[in-house]
Amino acid sequence: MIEVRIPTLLQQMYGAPPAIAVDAATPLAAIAALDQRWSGMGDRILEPNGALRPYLLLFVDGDYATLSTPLHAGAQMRIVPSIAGGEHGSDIAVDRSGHMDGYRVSFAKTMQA
Amino acid sequence: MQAMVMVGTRKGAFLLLSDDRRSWETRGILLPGWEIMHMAYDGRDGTLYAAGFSWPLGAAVARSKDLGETWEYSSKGLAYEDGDKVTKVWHVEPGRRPGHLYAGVEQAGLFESNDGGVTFSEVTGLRQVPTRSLWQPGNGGLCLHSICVDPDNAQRMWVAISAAGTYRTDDGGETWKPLNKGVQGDFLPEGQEVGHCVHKLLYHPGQKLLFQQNHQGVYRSVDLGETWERLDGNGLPSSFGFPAAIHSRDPQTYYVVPLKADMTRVTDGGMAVWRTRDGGQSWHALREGLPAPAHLVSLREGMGVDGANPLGIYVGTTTGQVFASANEGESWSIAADFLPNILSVSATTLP
Repeated sequence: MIEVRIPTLLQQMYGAPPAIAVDAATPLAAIAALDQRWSGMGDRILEPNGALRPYLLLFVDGDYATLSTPLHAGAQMRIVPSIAGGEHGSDIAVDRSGHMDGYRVSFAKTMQA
Repeated sequence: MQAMVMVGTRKGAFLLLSDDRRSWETRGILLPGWEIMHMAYDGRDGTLYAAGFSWPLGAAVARSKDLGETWEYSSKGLAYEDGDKVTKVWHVEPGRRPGHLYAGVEQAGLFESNDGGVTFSEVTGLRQVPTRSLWQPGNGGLCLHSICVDPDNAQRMWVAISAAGTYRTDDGGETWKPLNKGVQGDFLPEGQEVGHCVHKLLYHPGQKLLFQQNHQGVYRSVDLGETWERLDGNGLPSSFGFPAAIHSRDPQTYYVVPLKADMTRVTDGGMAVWRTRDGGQSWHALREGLPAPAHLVSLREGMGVDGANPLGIYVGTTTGQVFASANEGESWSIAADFLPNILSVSATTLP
């Protein structure tokens, strides 16, 4: 089992708790488990083509992760929405290189408030 | 009778409820964290729909069967097969029967649902029109924001896209015809039939009347959109504005909110809703109870009517005021203030 930390907005939308334990070998499988529990939640996390939505980040045990990152038993997976504010419009980009230390996440540019 | 005003904002939705249309109860914030572009109530089955998007969580339609107490979200099928992204849902329009719903989106396209907004499928014929190459995004993006269903012809409906113009189908969405003859567009090559910047398109089925506020003018059509008659040279202070309304029972009475054009785009001097009672032959400012001086903006979905008699009219601003009139615009009061940036106002009555 792993622990998935659910962002506040999704908690509000689906009446979900801050965290849930699921049996999943990858973040993609964990998201599928969330969608099975709360129908439609997967569509909020993934784009219709199956990619992670561009303003969401995944972390496993504090490190940046992808949808296919292997999950070990007891891992903690976080779904982190981008922080709002800053430049509107062009070249929105997220610096995915940094380690997530606690909740510190750095963004090359941020999105519209 | 209870009046209900549905207010979509950049920070979520609000419902304003009143038994007398003078004092209002505000419910909200509903759908927190979502930008609500438009809301609609289908009185046939009591479903409240909200069109919106969230920067991190994408575009979706939310639906409520209990007047906003609980919501379900869906974007199942709100996707293009060619890879273009659906970034926002701009408009939701109850369709031809309970549970039938249309959704207009950005990138511009039309979707429908036959199960009350649980799943959607694209009305593919619209994006297959040969003139699609002439569609260009306006300042708000390339969006389909107006959907007008002909209740008397199951095969006919109109949509408006910014900036493309008005299109009509007469065969249930298989084929679409651009309908912009007589509509001005100084920013277009002369004679180009597509690329027009409709800000809001409305249809009055009783008189088969189309009415639009355009980037450049106010127009009506009495021949299903084949030709357009310009109405803003008859007293309106500006050809520019965003929202529009048609009187529910009187197809000669229309409402607009002119903004100082073309760069300032705020109400000029004071807030005013302008009304014609004679099909656009003359216009008069309705100012009683509205603030002055005031430099306000109401967006394309910013005005709604409740269908009651006398007609209730509601106008929302990007600075968070909802102005209400219970007497067809003769006088106004504030139904709600200090709301977030208002994107849409729609209204109805509840039994």
